[in-house]
Amino acid sequence: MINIKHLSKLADLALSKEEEKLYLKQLEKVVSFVSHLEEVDTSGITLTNTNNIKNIYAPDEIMPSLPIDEVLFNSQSKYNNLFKVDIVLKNKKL
Amino acid sequence: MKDLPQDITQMQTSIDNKEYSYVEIVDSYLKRIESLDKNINSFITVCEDDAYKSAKWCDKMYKELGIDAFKKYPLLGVVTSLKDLFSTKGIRTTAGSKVLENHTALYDATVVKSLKEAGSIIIGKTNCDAWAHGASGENSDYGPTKNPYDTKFVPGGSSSGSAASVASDFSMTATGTDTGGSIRQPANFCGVVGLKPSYGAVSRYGIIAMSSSLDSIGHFTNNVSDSEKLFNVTRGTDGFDATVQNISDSVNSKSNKTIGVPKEYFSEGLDAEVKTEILRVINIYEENGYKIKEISLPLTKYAISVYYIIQPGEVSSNLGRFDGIRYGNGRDRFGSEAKRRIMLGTYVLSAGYFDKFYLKAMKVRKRISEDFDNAFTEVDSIIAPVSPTCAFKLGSKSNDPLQMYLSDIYTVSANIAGIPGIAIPSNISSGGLPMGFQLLSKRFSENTLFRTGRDFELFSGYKIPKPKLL
Repeated sequence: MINIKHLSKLADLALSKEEEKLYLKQLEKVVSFVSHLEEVDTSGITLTNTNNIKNIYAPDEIMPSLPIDEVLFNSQSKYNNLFKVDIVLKNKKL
Repeated sequence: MKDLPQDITQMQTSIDNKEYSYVEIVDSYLKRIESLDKNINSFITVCEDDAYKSAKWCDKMYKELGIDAFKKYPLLGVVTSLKDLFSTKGIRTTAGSKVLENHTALYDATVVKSLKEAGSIIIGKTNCDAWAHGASGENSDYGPTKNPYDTKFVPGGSSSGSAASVASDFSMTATGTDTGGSIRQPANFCGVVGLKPSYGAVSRYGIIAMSSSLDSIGHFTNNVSDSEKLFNVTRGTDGFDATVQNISDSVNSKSNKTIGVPKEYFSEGLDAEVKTEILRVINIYEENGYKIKEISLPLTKYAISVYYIIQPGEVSSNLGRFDGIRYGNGRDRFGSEAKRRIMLGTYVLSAGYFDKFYLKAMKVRKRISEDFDNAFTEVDSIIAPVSPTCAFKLGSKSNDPLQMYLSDIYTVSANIAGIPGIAIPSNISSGGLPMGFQLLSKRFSENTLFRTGRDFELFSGYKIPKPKLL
């Protein structure tokens, strides 16, 4: 029922074979426990936000941003005042 | 210098009587930390230079303004330690995780800014379960914090270092976060007062997010009055956290005198000595004019399940930003508890399972909130245990995650319903560990908690002894 490999891909976590086995077992135990929520009658409940506030606005004003050197300060992956990320689209010969 | 002051009022009096200066106070705390924290491990980062700089400024302010300084800066010279989830500008902020081992915060969290502006002296960043995932302190990537009353025992978590720091007199106050009990439980295990404000009372801006609909920003103090003083500084809208509202209750002398006892909280699973102590506390209230009423919170048994669906779901989303690009190390540096919660959260939010788990849990959440709304039409506050047992031995629970999760039973409901709670110490157990209770009240009614808590301190007349550190 729980597809550990699929989940670890969604979660962007590289798991070892031991971790996959361990987490599968632990997850199944927790999921089995929490499934008793089915017993609770929740018919007629549509609103799920318990905060009871809505439409909190802020004025659309430009506020000062952090300076670029501070923004990049903690990064290990930068180039030319930019964050360097993994390739998104690869150029493939058609 | 003579003994460190135990509360804010005492310190103000002593400063006014010229018994010591703020620099001398910081000196004393730092000396204690240097010689004693090696056995407790409550700090990840100690901010000596900044603390001395602040202390000198505090001494200058008192010299210039006299007692008016206390009006202008209500927390003048109050030495505070910050859970390492709180962003502190220019200072290492790790969230207790190796992912952020070398991370420097670029700005102060709103709460940090407010505390500083009120005159508080920041002494350091405290140890915690990594990402606030835990209820013992054992999930920190920087080694577990120990319980100052007995270092073979856990201090509780996830705000383990903050609770231990106040209990050990390494700081007068400390900040924490409470998502499923992470202030109230370590406060209870370490014998200090721990406040979990209402959701939406204190800004979460600048505090590394765990579960955004459950996170509550609070603090640890040595008594209830100090808790109130800190809350009056940290509360309120800041223009950054849209969920904050400026609401509070008024308390008059005739109100807030009925305490509810939830019958579902006193069944099996609750340690006999903890139960006896809560009954003793209830008796003290009753003898002093409070009305006690049995109430029912029928959905109590579903609270853990609601919590352990919503929380990991939101955790998996919030930890998605840690990709090692803009900050931090890669995701391979996550510890096992973080990975477990991310995996569980990804599952309950994934296509095909979202309705059955996350959506269902959010609906049951609404029903649990209604349980509390109903209860608070009959009573002003609710008394409850904080944890089924006192502090437990290090290593005794780490093998079974589900067992660990189940012991959150008394704390998670307050986070689910967004209501405030305060943990108050009341006694020492036969094993030499702190015992206490918690009070819960309606959303945005912290004044009821402060009033009812202060009354207990007055009625009881007994302050538990501080631990003897070696």
